[in-house]
Amino acid sequence: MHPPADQELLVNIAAGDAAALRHLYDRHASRVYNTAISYLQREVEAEEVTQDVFTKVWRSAGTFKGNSEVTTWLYRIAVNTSLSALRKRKKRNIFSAFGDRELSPPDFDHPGALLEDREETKSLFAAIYRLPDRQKTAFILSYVEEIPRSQVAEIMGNTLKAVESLLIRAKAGLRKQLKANHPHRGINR
Amino acid sequence: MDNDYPNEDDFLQPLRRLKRAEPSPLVWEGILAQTERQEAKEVPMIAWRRVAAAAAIVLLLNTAGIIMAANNNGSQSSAAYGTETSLVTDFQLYD
Repeated sequence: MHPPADQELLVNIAAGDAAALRHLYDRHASRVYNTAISYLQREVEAEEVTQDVFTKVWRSAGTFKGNSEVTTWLYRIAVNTSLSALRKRKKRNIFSAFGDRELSPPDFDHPGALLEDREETKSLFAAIYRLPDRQKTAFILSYVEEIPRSQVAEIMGNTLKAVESLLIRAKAGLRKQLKANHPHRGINR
Repeated sequence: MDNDYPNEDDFLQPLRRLKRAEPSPLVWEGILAQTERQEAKEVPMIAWRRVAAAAAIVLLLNTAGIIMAANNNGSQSSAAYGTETSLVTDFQLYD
């Protein structure tokens, strides 16, 4: 007996089947969580976003029209929820930081980083944090989630060309930041 | 050409070696609690609709009753008035 397809799970979720939601969660929670953690760079907040995403899935499974992959739909919700959470955090920080609008990236140790990559991963994520939202989204989906560019374009509602342009700018921005912060670091290890 | 990055995407190597992070089991528990909370919210809404429908019926019945009573009282009061004036005229004290 093969496992139900994602679309079938959504139909069942729309009918109030919590077991189907659990099934979908087990299959895709990692995608949502890793996306969220790449934006928020705090495990607790990424978990809250993951919870929000699947709660939204529970409430709006019936609205899924089936004209894209379920993962595309899920990533879209994850990206929007992560960006909203980031904006809320920045608003809170603006009011609590006595007018200091320069918001530093969190001091983030990615839980999946190899020991020998810890410092570089930390610098890389700090640089990702400073990217403008659209470049950040294109970069996270392409290079952290390793989603095909065509699907990234669909998730973002952009053309493939627009995504590629965002990626070129994102990488240039990251390289520049890394060089500025670590001028003596060589890239070849 | 940038000498620090002979292969221009080398600086992304740590990302390629990154392992997938997993959310804690508490996340699923939170999702389950939210789905149950949402089902609980829907029941009072149904109950309120029933209460509103019952109230509307009672109001209609009361209104109909008041209208009917008002129509009946109209005819009764002229009869009563007639009795009262005859009582008054029967009590003529001065010729």
